[in-house]
Amino acid sequence: MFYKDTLLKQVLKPGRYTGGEYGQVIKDLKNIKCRWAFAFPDTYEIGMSNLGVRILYGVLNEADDVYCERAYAPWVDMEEQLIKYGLPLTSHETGTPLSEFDILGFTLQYELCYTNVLNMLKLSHIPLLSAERGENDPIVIGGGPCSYNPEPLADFFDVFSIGEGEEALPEFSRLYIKMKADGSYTRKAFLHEAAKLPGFYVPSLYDVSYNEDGTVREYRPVYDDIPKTVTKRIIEDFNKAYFPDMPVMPYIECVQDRITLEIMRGCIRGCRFCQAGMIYRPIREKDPALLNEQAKKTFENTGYDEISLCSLSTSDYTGLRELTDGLLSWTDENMISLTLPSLRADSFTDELMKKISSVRTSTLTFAPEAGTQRLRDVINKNLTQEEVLRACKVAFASGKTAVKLYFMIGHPTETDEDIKGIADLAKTVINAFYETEDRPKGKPQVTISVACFIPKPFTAFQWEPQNTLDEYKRKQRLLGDCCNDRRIKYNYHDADGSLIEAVLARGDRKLCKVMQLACDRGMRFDAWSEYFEFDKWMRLFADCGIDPAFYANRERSCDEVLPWDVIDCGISKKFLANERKKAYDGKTTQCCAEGCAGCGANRLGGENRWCPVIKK
Amino acid sequence: MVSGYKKIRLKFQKTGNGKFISHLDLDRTMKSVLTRAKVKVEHTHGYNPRPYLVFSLPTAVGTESLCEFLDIKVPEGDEIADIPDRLNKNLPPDIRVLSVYEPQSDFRQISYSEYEIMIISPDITADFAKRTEELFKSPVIIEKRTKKTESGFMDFDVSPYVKSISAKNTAEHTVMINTVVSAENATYINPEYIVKALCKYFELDLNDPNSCLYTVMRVGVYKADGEKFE
Repeated sequence: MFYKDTLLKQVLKPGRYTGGEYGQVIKDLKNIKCRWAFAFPDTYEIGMSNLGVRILYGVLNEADDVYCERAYAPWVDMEEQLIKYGLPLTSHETGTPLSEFDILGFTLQYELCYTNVLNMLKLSHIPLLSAERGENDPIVIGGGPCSYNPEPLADFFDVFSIGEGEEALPEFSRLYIKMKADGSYTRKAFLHEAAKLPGFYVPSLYDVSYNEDGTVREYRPVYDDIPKTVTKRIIEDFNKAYFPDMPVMPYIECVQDRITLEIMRGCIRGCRFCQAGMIYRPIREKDPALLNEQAKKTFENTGYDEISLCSLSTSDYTGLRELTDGLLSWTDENMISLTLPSLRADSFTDELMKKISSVRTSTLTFAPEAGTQRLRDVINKNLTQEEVLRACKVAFASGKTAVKLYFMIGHPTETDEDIKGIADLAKTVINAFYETEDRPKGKPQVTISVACFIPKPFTAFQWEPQNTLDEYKRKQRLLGDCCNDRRIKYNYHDADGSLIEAVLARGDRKLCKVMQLACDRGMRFDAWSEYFEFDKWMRLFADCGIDPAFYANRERSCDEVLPWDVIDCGISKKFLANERKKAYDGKTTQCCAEGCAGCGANRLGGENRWCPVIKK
Repeated sequence: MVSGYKKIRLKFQKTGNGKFISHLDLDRTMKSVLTRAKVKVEHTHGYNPRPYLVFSLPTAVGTESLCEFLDIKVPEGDEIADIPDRLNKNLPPDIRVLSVYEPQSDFRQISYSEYEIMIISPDITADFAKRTEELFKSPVIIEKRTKKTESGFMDFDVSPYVKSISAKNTAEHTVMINTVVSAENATYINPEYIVKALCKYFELDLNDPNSCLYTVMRVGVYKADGEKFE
């Protein structure tokens, strides 16, 4: 006899595990030919907040013969219970062990969740290695931003979905159902067929060879009929993309518990450190009237009191005025507040400020990313100090006393002057408060949040060395010494974690043995400071004969074969190399709204593409 | 403009997975359910407007209940008879609104709660029911969490708070307990204390999900004179 109740009484926040929420999909298993478990490798509260999961859960469940359920990483107390009583990890909707599903999907949102992925496989009693899985084990598929360089997980996944999944994953289910029905299904045959579908990368079907210095020599497909490089999938007409207007309503409080309205995909800016700005291209906007309709329907279905406009740079959305006017025509009377994260300081206006504070307001955050104009040009942020100050004054004039500024340290070419520039900018913002005539009473508070730069694949800085730990720690102290004003609150990210992220972000398959050993040693929740242990990681690398500096702190030459060259995200390597050169020359690149910079993403198609040269 | 609001009371049950919803989460759930069901309620008038919701005597996480009460304020002239239906369409299946009415009583009048406790365990012997009834006739000391002592625990005698207790062995290894315990603000006790006491005194281990289960359900609340609270 198995009493879920008994387990749940022994853990914190049992609402994480109960299932049964309003809006969850329940299907009659008799009619189901393909069962998906969609797993988020972190806690329920984080997983339930993810828009991508909401979309794919909805889109997979649209088919009558496909049933997608949810699964999350159990917190350590629940994990302990599962191990103690020999119980497997189960799905939320039906409590089915994950090992019994046809397809087990993981979304890979950040590198430090990799240990959770392996731990979830282990807790599900599914063989870790793809090569060791049998005909009755699920097909394990990964997707999300980290799958643009999935190599550190290549041995554990049967297949990766590259790019947007709304159309790709249903095709994957159809292939599974078809091959099961006509009797041609074996694991091997299925993965071979999947590799022929656009946007699916089956790592076991690509042999990798290495040079003597440890760099990649070549990726070679095992079969002639699968592509040499896997091109990412995109939704060409974003207006026709599936929209989850009936998300599952969590019982317990989640990180993002609101309506998330995705207004566009892609970003016109081209900041040189930003991976999202590249891999989500080309730009596709959604029609404001359609968004307004979708928001209204979601409100009626959920009763949420907050709508968040989601995109990489909300103020660049060309229909923003029409959309916000449309939303405000009904949100105020329903006590719904609007939030606009990802606002650029250069387009933040008094009008926007009023719109987002009509019901209730939150803190305003701007991201100058670097402290001096020189360095902001290097990273192609295209933002001036005047623009930042003007935006802050708008906030102060509307009654705010606090603003938050995001920065990164460790950008290529950075000097100590640039670090000091961060504190100087914060001080100038404080002065701007006193220069604002209709400022509120009280003292200003400027919070500066400073992250460590992590070079990512598919960016202009993908070849760059990351600062060493000592360098990061020195810079963090230097900045701390410069922030000698009590009205400045200085937060900084842990540099140790950034090093591990940097290793995994640009890692190759040689790191699989590190990941396996991490799993054997019981590591998980590395994205949580209470469970991240830097020394454990260093021991892992040492025990596997891996030098983390090879991945994190080594400068690559532009002609080196990169582990992620097997993936084609639409952006050409030549464009990125040229951007890198321009960075060193301190030259900026125009954004897509001003003219095409020739990144190459437009060849992926897309009806609402921006690039004027190709748009005609 | 609405001229005024009237207070109405919703009686609801939370069973099954609903028992794991904490009080705060129930508050959030009800808030969005009222919005979905288009039940207009009065909001607070502060910086962050929130609907005005008052729950009676929230149950502890893990306890089911057939008698939960929620007071809300709706516009004076609004029809309320269809509110349970409208809410139930928008509630997760484990929470059901049973009735709605204009309350004649005050939450402060609640003095006692009645619980049904079912325990399944290989440790439940045939005389378990009898021993349970006997036990609470004398002091029953358990450890209770407290902020008052350094260890974070203090000894606590449950017996004075137990107004009545009866038990029956209903099947092999299964016992059903019915108990009425104090629910006043100052003397409220969590029904889990009864289970805790049984575990301590009869060496019951209820942790193994392979063989043990216990459920606690609130079945009624009463005023000081024993009259049922509605």
